[in-house]
This record gives sequence, C-alpha cells and structure tokens, in this order.
Amino acid sequence: MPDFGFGIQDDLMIDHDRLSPAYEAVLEEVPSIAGCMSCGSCSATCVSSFQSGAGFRKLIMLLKNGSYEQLQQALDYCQFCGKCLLVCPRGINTRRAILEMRKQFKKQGDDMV
Amino acid sequence: MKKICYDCVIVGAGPAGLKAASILDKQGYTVCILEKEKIPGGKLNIWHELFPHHESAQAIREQMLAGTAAPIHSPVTIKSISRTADGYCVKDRNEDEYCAPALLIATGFKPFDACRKEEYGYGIYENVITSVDLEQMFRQHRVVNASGEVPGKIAFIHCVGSRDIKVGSEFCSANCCITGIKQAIELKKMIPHVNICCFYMDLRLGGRFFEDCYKTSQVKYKVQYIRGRLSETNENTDQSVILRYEDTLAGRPAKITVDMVVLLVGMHPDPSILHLLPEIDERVGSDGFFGKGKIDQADQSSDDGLFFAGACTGPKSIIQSTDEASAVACRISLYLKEKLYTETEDQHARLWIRHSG
Amino acid sequence: MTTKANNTPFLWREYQKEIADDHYYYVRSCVRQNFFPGAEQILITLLKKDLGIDLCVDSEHTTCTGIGYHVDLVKLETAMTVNARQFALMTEAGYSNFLVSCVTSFGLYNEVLEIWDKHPEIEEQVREYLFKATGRTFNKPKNLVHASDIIYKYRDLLADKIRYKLVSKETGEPLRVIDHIGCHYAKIFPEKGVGGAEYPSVLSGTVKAFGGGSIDYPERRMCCGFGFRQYFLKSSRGYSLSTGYKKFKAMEPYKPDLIVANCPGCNYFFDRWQYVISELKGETFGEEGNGIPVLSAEELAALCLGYDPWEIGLQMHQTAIEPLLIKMGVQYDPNAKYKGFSGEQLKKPKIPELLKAY
Repeated sequence: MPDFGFGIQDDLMIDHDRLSPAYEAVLEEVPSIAGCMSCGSCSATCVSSFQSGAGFRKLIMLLKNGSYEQLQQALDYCQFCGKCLLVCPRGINTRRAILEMRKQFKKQGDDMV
Repeated sequence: MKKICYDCVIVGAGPAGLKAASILDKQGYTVCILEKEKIPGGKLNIWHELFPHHESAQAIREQMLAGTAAPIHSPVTIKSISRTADGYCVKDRNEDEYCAPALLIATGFKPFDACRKEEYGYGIYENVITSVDLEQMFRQHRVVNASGEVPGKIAFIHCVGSRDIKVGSEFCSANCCITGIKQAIELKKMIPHVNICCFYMDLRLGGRFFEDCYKTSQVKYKVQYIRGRLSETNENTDQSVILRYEDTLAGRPAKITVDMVVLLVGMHPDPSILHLLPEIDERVGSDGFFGKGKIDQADQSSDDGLFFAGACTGPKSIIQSTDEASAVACRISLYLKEKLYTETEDQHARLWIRHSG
Repeated sequence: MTTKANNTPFLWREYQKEIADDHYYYVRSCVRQNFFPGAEQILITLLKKDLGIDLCVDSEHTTCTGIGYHVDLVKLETAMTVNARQFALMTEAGYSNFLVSCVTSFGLYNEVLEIWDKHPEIEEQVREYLFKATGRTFNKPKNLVHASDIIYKYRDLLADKIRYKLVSKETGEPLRVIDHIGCHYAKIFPEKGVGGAEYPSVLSGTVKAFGGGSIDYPERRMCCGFGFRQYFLKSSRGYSLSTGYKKFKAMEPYKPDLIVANCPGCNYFFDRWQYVISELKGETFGEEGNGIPVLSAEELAALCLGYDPWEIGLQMHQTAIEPLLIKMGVQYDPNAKYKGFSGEQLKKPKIPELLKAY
C-alpha cells in the first residue's frame, strides 16, 4: 500500500442508537437516576470535580452515552463525601449510583454495598 | 338576510368564547357566538387529553357548551365588521347582520404549519408528523407509523415554529413542552415498550403541576431528554428517520434513528380576522397577537367596545384562556353596564335602569 | 421532492431563479480544465450545436482565484479585482450573461456581487483598482448562472434528443443516481440556486428528465469534504478524506449506479478518493468492487446525447466508467480509450490492487 501521508480519522459523533448496558444495569439498582435533569448542582458542590473536571452530572452523561473509558477515569476521583447526595434537587441517590457504576467496571469487590 | 341585536357578539366558540358567554349571560346580557367551523368547541375538538391532569377534552367541551345558553351560530363566515354609532355590526356571507355595543374577539390560534420548516421533512418524509397529527391518532386510539406498524422508537422535537427567527416567530409558545411531555406519557401508557426521546433547547414548564409531569415522565415512564436542537431529518432505506443534532451537554454531535418523529408545533396568531377589524393596527403586538402584553391588559382599554380574549392575545393553555375570558367578560359587563344602564337611587337602594331600545 | 399530500413539488416552486436564454460569456474552471478537460470542451459543443446557444469562448480570461481565496492565499481585494477583470472582458466582448463552469467560482462571483450591492463604495474602489492596473472598465453581469443551471433549463429539450436514457438496458429500470450539489451553489445564497438550499433540484431535475431515479440518502446535503484549506495541506487532508468517506458509507445501502456532481472539486474528490479508500480501508463501493462512477452535469448530458465517451474525456476518470457504459448500453470502443489524437497508443495507468480499472 502506498504511503499517502494521511489517513481516515474516527468519527466523533455519538451514536444514540447504541444502547448503554452499564446505564441500564445501574438504573436497575438505583431507579432515581432517571430523574436527573442535568442541573449541575452536584458538579458544583463536588469536592473532586476541581481536579477531575467531572461531577456526578457528567458521570451520568458519560454512562448514558457509552463513553466508558472516560467514565472509568473520572470514577477514580470520587471521594464518597456525599455532598452531591445532599444537594440534588431531584432526590437522586448519587452516592449509591457511583458505587454501582464502580461495581459495573469491576473497580470494587461485590461485597461492598 | 336578517339583522339581530345583542348586548355582546362573540367571535369564536372556543374555550375563551364559551367561558365569556357563560358569564355574560348569567349576568343577564344577551349574547351570541359566531363560529367559523361547523361545530363549536374550538381546539377542544382536536385534542384528546388535556395537560396537566389528562382530563378528557371531550368532557370539558361538553361541560363548557352546557355552561352557556347563548345561541351559537355555526358555520359562519364573516364578510365584514363595521363600527356603528351604537357599537359594532358583523355581517356574514349570507348578508345576515349581528349587531351589538360590545364585540369580543376570541378567535384563538393557528398551529404552526410545519411544512415551512422544510429541513424537518414534514410533508416529505412519511414518518414525520406534528403533535396535532398525533393527537388525532390518540382520538382514534391507534398510533402507527406510515407502514401501519406500531413504532418502537419515537422522537419529540421541541420548539418547532417557536423561538425561531427563520420562520419569523421569535416568541415562545409556552405550551408545547408540556404538550410533548403529556403526549410522551400517553404513548408510554399505550405502548409500554416504546422508546421515547425528547429533543429540547429549554424545558419551559411554568404551569401548576407541570414539573410533576416532567419528573413522572422521567422516573416512572423512562422518557429520555436530550438537550440539543434538531438540525435536519433524513430518511433511511426502510423509511425510518435519522436525526442530526448535537448533544449539547456532552458537547458532541450525535445521531439517532427513530420510527417516528413528532414535531411540537408552536401556537401562531390566526391572521384571518385581522383584515376585517376596523383600525386595528395599534392593537396588534409585534408578534402578531392582539394586545401588548401589559399588566392588567391596560392597553386594551374598553372605550370603544372591542375586546379580545383567549389564545388570540398570545399563546395560552385552556386554563389560562378561560381565566382570561372570565376577566374580560367582567370588563365587558362593566362596559355594558355603563353604556346601557342609568344609575339612580331610591330610599332603599341603588338601582340601575336599562335604557330602552 | 414531492409531498405525500398531493404529489406535486411545492417547496421549491418559490425558489426558481432566472436563467437567461442565450448569449453567454463562458468562464472555465481551474480544476475541471486540468483534471476533466473533456467536460468543458463537450459543454461548448453541446451548447453551440445541440442547443444553438451563442457562447463566447475567450482565451483572455483567467482563474477567478476562488481556490486561492478560500485557502487564504489570495486577499479579498485581489479576488474582487480579478473578478472585475473577468466582467470587463465580458463587457468588451459585448455580453451581459455570465456562464460559470465551476461552483466555487459561482459562489465567489455571487459573493462579490453581493458585497458590491451592499457596499457601493467598495465597488467604486475596485473599479479604481482595475482601471489603474489594466485600464479596463466593466459592467456587472445581468444574469450569472452555472453550467448545470443551463442544462437544467433545457433539460426537457435535451431529453427529447437523447440517445441513451438513464435506464438499465437489461432491466429497463431507471438508474439509481446520487446527485451531489456543491456547497457554494446554494448554501451561501439559497435564492441563487434552483430549488433553494435544502432541496436543490438542479441535478435531480435533470436526472429525472433523462429517465433516471434520484436517491435521497441521509448524508445527501452534506459537504463532500473538499474544503480547500483543509485539503491543501497534507497534515489536514485526512480530515477532508474522512468527511468524504462518511458520504460514501451513507450511500452504500442505496446501491447507487452513478454519482452526478456539479462542482469540479466534488467531482474530483469522489472520483479520486475511492482508490485511496480502497487502499487505506480495503473497502470499495459500487457493484463488485468497480467503484461508483462520477460524472459532471455536462458529461452526463453529453453521454446521454450519444457523444463518444472518449471524446467527452471519460478516460481521465480514475473510477471505472465502463460498467456504467455497459449498463446504459452506450456504444464505445474499449481499445480507443488510451489513444492520442494522432491515433498512437498512449501509456496506460497502473491497475490498483482492489479497485477495478479497465
């Protein structure tokens, strides 16, 4: 094959036709995450979002869009302080949701609740 | 060819017109309603369930019709409206005249013609419909796509014909978001396994219990909401529709394939009455609706006996239309009282005596 | 496009633009002249012979500098002055209708005319520049159209004369034709394109008149990816290619027989990129690895009218054109493909690994 000096780049378009099995799994355990309206109060109060750039709002968004690699990186920053849980206006059990997300990506043992 | 005189002539037998009539005739005034369609009820004839509590439009329509004894002339096509010394004279196509000192315009709104938003494919792709078309399907208890199959995935597009300089209407129609949510819930009740995705710029849910509808749709019915305005629709080989939008919260362009697209069309002013009204220009706002949107409708002062109520003064829900109609009916009542009655006193009470003629 | 309501095309009725009947001053395209020279030559023959149009072919005219302008090499003032010179040549030749071969030129000329319309002081300045540089003066053209517009205008007349309809000789089915409109045709000034910006019908109308069937596919209104500045530098060429690749992938399920494009850049892109994609990704489009042949509006009209494919210049196309000729039943001599004007055999190009060539 001749060396053209350029190639075909990947598409950045999110394909919303693709399902996100991890989202469905977390939704099963924490049904309240369906109520997220992306207000961003969680990210604003998050202790670690200053470093990670990702508050809980973003975690849910990455989970829904199937951006699992970015999500896994962001999940490591959570300090489980629970501030996002206190502030959520829709009453989402954010802390539990993060734990479930970590379980999905095998970051924790199954015996942690 | 006849001429009948009333105290108030109401143009439009929709919720606003019917409500105003019911208040005015209970106060003893003679009222008649002129309706351009064959049957009265206005848009109540095309809705199935009303937000926010899913009340039956049919039931509300019957209730409102039963609330007034005023004669409703339908269908009537108005040929001219002229001002006389005593008030107004409305002449129809058959040369019949309806005269009154007070004239109430309650002509309502026109849903946006979605064909004008050609990039959305309405009128071009079979599986793109409007919220009005969907409501028709609800009335017939049958929601199917162009091939006659039950859709598996449906997209709702908010702000079609509203907040859009390209179609010449920058106002927000204020009632389409809740309509979309209501219809999404109705669809989920009808077709439990259907996937619904709503594409919005903002969710304008200002009415009472609207936020509850939103939360219910998310948590109970798992309706998805994606923030991003649709740019164009395209059709696949199997007539499913592919949407192009940006997931603005993710900050990336995105696409989705659905079996049916529902465009939530805005509420536009109905211009058919404008050319008939004498000297109306100062009373029409920059968005094409009557009135200027000021507090207590101060700009619609009633020295000349011409009143407006309902969706013709701006996008409104049925609740708001009937409320405004009640307020305007009282205003009409005061106007007529002043015009038609003389106040006098006897030793016991204040009396109002009606002029003769 | 037709509506489901009453089967009549309604959307673009309002967007019909004025196309003059006759007496045109013709300006050629840089890319088309270099890569598909036969196309312009055959258009001149077609307009003069088959349609009897008075066409002025002037060797004095230059590039419109569109390509230079869009890669940020040529300043706007220079571009405007060069365009003014083109108009001056048109005026001196005694014409007031301007026929443009390239869609980028078309876009640039319209842009320049619009600037002059909104800012008369800039027009005055350009007149000054032109006079100082060349001593010429100019009139603005009364009617500025693209070559595909003329073919669209006379499509019914041509349809009566065509020898080969756009149908499959074997099955009688209309050919599945993808029409691709250059971005600068209608996206900048929708009223300057036949059919507006969303559903321009300048090519699909012609295809329909010649018996073919238009395909509506999801990426139809997207840019081919040529891009100018992006394509020029090798470091960003991959981005251009990726955009074009997306279009090919979207076309695939519709099994097109042919692509028609009115912009020479798009023609060039679609024709040449199929080989690159076949090498980079191992994917070919079209039936049996033949690729999807690409024609311009002029080439399409000339082919249907019965001109010899090698006279039209189709041997210059990289993507094989023979499968289409066979499908349409066009008479051609495969041995004459690489013969020069004097009849001698010229060198043949190398055959690629994956993409078929004849």
